[in-house]
Amino acid sequence: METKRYFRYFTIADYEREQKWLNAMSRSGWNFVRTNGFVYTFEKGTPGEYIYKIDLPNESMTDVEVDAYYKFMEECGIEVVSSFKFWRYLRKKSTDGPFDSVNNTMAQLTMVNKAYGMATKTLCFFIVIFALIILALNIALAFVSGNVAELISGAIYGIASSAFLAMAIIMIPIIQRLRTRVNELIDDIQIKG
Amino acid sequence: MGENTNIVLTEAVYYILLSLMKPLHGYGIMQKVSEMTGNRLIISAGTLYGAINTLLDRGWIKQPIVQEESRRKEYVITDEGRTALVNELERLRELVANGEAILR
Repeated sequence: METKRYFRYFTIADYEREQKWLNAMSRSGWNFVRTNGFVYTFEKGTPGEYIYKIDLPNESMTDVEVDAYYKFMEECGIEVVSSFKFWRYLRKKSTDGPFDSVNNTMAQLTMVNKAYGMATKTLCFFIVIFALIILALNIALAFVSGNVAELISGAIYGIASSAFLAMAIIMIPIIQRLRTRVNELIDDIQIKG
Repeated sequence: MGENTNIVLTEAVYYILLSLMKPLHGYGIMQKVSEMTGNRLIISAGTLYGAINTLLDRGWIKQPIVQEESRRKEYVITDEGRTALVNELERLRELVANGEAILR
């Protein structure tokens, strides 16, 4: 089977753009089959045969519930083609109709809110890791002393804090963008049934 | 029974309950709703899955005791579900009556 590979990166806040791209590829006859978050693999097929949707399982679901959820999707004619971290890449035959009504604000809000939760969780995870590194360094310094130990701990501290700062600089605007989108959709819901 | 059946239903829940007068499985509900609304309302599998679980918890729908020999789970409306639909219909009548009285 003829395949094509693309190198792309989409942030948590860009899943709608990613989804548009996958659907555009499908319309031009390239069916998305898998990704590792950076490399996207497509197989040659009939243009417009499939439509794609990117999904996130609900945070409160257990693994068993997530399995049941995607099994239900399969019974509805939806195939889980690929997964990366929490993301699931869904597709269905375009002849079976769309995934959803157009402009379903409630569904959009649910999805953005899940992405927002995931972005926040990611940042919290890095805060915990950073705190653990600092704690470990302090404990180690209580037992070992000397210039070499201080030099090494200083280096680790420097690397860890720059990595953390970089992470925060990347993640905070993403979280803010998602938060803004959540608020916009909540405003929409005030007037849309 | 203590659950309040006098609440405003979402359009999706209203049509899901209407389609469950006879037992149906998930995919059947989606098709039935699209058919009833002439494809105007398309319920996504994700929305449907969440709604089914909530309605089961509320006791507005249930799984029929006699399940057909199929892998797919079926659902059917309960008396409470029916009451919720009747109350909603009454509310919708009021909406229409007020709208017509003023806009005519």
